[in-house]
This record gives sequence, structure tokens and C-alpha cells, in this order.
Amino acid sequence: MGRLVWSVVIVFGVTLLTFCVTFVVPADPARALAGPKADRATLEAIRAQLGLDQPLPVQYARYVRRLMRGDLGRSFVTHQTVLEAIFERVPATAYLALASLSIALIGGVCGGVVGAVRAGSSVDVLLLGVSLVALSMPVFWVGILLLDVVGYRLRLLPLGGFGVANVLLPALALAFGTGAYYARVLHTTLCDALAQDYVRTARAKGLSMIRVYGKHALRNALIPLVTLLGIDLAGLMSGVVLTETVFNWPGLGRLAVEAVFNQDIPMIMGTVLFSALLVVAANIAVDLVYMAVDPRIRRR
Amino acid sequence: MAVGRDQADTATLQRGLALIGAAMVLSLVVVALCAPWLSPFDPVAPVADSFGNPFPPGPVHLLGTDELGRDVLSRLVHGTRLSLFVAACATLVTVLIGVTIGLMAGYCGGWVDTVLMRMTDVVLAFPLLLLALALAALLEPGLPSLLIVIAAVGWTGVARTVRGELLSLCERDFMTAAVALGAAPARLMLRHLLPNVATTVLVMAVLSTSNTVLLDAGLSYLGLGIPVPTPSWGRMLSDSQTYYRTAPWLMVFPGLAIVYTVVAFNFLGYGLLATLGGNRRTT
Repeated sequence: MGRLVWSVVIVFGVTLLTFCVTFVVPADPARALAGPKADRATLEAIRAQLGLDQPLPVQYARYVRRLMRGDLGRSFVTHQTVLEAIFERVPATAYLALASLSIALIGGVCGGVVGAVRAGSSVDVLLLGVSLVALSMPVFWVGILLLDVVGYRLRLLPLGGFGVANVLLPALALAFGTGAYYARVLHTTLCDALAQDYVRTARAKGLSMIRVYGKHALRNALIPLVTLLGIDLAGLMSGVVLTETVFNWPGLGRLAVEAVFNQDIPMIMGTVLFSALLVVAANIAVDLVYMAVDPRIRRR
Repeated sequence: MAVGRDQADTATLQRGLALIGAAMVLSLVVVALCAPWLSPFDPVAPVADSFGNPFPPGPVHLLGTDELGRDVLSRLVHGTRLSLFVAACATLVTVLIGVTIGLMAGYCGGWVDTVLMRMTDVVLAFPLLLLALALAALLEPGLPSLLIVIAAVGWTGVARTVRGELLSLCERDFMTAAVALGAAPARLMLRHLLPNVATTVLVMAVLSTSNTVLLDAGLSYLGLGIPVPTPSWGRMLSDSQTYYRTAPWLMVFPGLAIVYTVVAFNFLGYGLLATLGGNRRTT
């Protein structure tokens, strides 16, 4: 319950920060919001409409009231409302993110388990090296390489477009670093779990390897990974922006990048605010899931 | 026992990792410092008649030329300068902000701690690159903006770690002794607490340098880094994407340069973390 209250505080902070970036950082917020081509009348209308002559606290109160109505402003390039534009793009991003997370989880769990079971062996050292290098590769470079090798030279998967086969390449590019990270984390937690008494008991009972590792150790080692999924959503969104740009994927990230090039401030701030709120929501969801999978938390 | 041997192996491995990382970082610094002497051609001016038709790697242009006839090797070598410079400056600012906020939160505790840590949570809720994009769109493109953007979004990790270390340090006897001797808060923070977190901060700084290199490359790739024609690895990659079918070398080499740099700092960081973490001072 206490966590939920803090989430409200975080949401408040998130809106305050976006408000500051939109209305306090630019020299002339009306100009920033209306675009470089706006005439005097439009600027005056915006100033009056948003109350830009009022003191900042009053402006912030108005801003929050507009947000509560779902009014994120209007793009001055397409004249669409920002919320509409965002909702159009969300499915594509969600699709990409889910596909990529699945690949990352499968790869990360396999890598982590193999490394932990064979801890200290040359396989483990090799996996450590590979995951460190994978973590160091910029997601957009992995994307371009996959496009070139798998898409263009080997012609195994389509280069662009939107569909089941089309999502594989961008999802793979995005999963590369995340998967390596999960493998490292799972390696650590699984090694810890394997050193616990209950694993020794399970072994002493004569349970098979698969039961000891799969049922006793892995289940407990997977719990921290659940929290990581939530914390990492912000990082994943950063990767999404780059991946969507490389693959021309029609999602939220491309919307933001296009908006930056058009100097479309309402659209940029809208996508930034929306993704931050999404991250907060995801963290609440992860807390709930965490309580469901780990009875120790509930009792505390 | 087998466990003992494993631990010894791991320690050797981690020290090796740190040494390899240090050697790689050193090589990058040498390349950056000696860029004008190492690069065979002018990095900005066209030196080959290959307009719109890049030359593949060959004896004259070791890594080929780009679509404007500029030598790729020379651009990469000069790109090292920019990349390391941005990374060093941004990391310095990031660490300064992070350590200050972490020290204040951890030392003062109470409501100061609550406010500062919630502030950190708020910044953490934003996808770094999106927040950086928004700031980059509002500021004039150029080096100062790039540094502001990277520092504004990157300080949270250092702040959280420093604060976490302080929580246990403040309970230690040497702190009680220092307080009893009447040391002023500033003295407590700078003379007693800061030296004890220095190791952690060093490791965090090295690790966050690799993140900074990636963030800088990402922003340059999106066209929000240092304006052209200054050679930057991220920009070279985004330019190469048009030519990936005919001139794959244009995208391979800048990518390798980024990976080499990030791997260098990651190896050094993880190696240091393991080596220094094992024998933390017990004052």
C-alpha cells in the first residue's frame, strides 16, 4: 500500500519535470509549442489559452488539469491531438517490446542456467565474455548488422514492413543486450540459490538434477528477474527508440524521433510523459506480481 | 578443495579482465591524443574521387572511403577524440552531481534523503534516451548541450550507490568518534565519508563511462550529437545505413570502434569492481 502512495508521488514528480522542461526551459514556451511558423495571432491565442502570463504554480495547476482530461496538446505539424497519435502507435511498440522480451527471457534464462550449472568452467568464462561483449554493442549497430546479414545477404527475413516475420529482426536486435543482461543476473542469483541449504537438502534426498535445478533453485532465482523486468522497462524504451529508427518500425519511438526532427514540442513532451507514466504503471504491476510469486513479501 | 581453486581462478580471471580493460582504454587514449599524426588523411575534406560511390578498403585507404570521398580510417581516428572527450567530460559532471546528491541524502537522512531519493526515482522513470531527445530538441545542438543532456539523465546510478554506502558508513565507530570530536558536517562528509566511498565511485565512474559512450553514440546516430562535419562514430553509422548494400565497410568499422570502447570500459569496470570489492578497507 505504501508503495502505491509513493507511486502517486512519482507521478506528481514526473508531471512536474515534464512541465519544467516544456514551460520553464524554453525562452518562449508559446513559440516552442506553436512551432517556428506560427504567426502573432496564434502565439497570442496560445498564451491566453495556456495562461502563460500567470505565475508558474498557476500554470502548473492548469497543466495538471489538462493532463487529467487527457489533453496533451496538439501537434502543430499534423494537427492531430497528441493522445490520438500516441494511441495509434502504441500497439506496434507493445508488439515489438513483447516479442523482444520473450526472446531476451528465453536466451537469458538458457545462458544463465548453463553458466551457473557449469560455474567456473570454460563454458562459463566463454558465456561471461560473450555477454559482456553483447552488453557493449549499441542496439542500432546490431540492428544494421542484422538487416545487412540476415535480411539482405542471406534473405532469410523481410527487411522492413509490419507483421509476424517482420518483427523478428528488430526484436532480435533489441533482445541482444537485454538477454545478455538477464543471463548475467540469473547467473548470480542462481549461483546464490545453489549454495543454499534447501538445495543441499534436495540433493541429499536424491532428487534428479533437473528437479533440483528446475524446481528448487531456478524458481527462487527467477524472482529477482521479475523486478528487473519492471525497472528495465525504461531502458527497454530507450532501446525501442533506436531500434524503431533503424527498422522504420511504426511505433512510439519513431513518433518521438520524427517529432524531434519536426521540432514538434507538444508531440515530444507527450511521448516522453506517456512513456514515463507507462514505466511507473509497469513498476506497480511488477510489485503486485512480486507479491504473488514471493509469499515472503506479503507476510512482511 | 575444489571451491578454493574456483575462487582463485575467478580472482585471476577478474584481475586479468581489469588489466585487459586498462590496456584497451590506454590504447584508445593514445589514439585520441595522437590523432593528427596517426590519421593518414584529412578527416573532413574529400581526399578521393569517390563521390556517391565509396571505395572499398585497399592499400591507400586502409578502411575505404565514404560516399563523399573521405578516408574512413582518418575519420574513425578523429572520432575517438570526440567520443573520449565527450565521455570523459560527461562522466565527470555525472559523477560530481551523483556524489553530491548521494552524500547529501546519505549524510542528512530524514526528509532531505526522502526528497532527493524520490527525485532520483522520478528521473529513473523516464527512458533516458527519450528524455535526452526532448532536451536535445529544446537546446541548441553542440558540445555544451550534449554534455548537459547526458549529465542531466545519467547521475541517478551514482547518487543511489553513494547514498546506499553512506547508510552503513554513518553507523560505524569512526563516524561516532569524528562527531564526538566536534567535526563540522562539511569535514565529516569530505574528510571521513568521501574517502570511504572513493573506490565505489571510481568503479561507478568507469562503468558509467561505457554507458555515456553508448548514449552519445545513440544521440549522434539520431542526428542530435555534435553537428557535421566533425567526425563522430554514431553519425558515421547513420550515414552508412543508406549504403549498407554496396558499402558494408562503412557500417562495420564505426560499430567496431564503439564496441571496442564500451568493452574496454566495461572490462576495466567489472574487473575493478571484483578486485577492489574483495578487500574493501575496514577502517
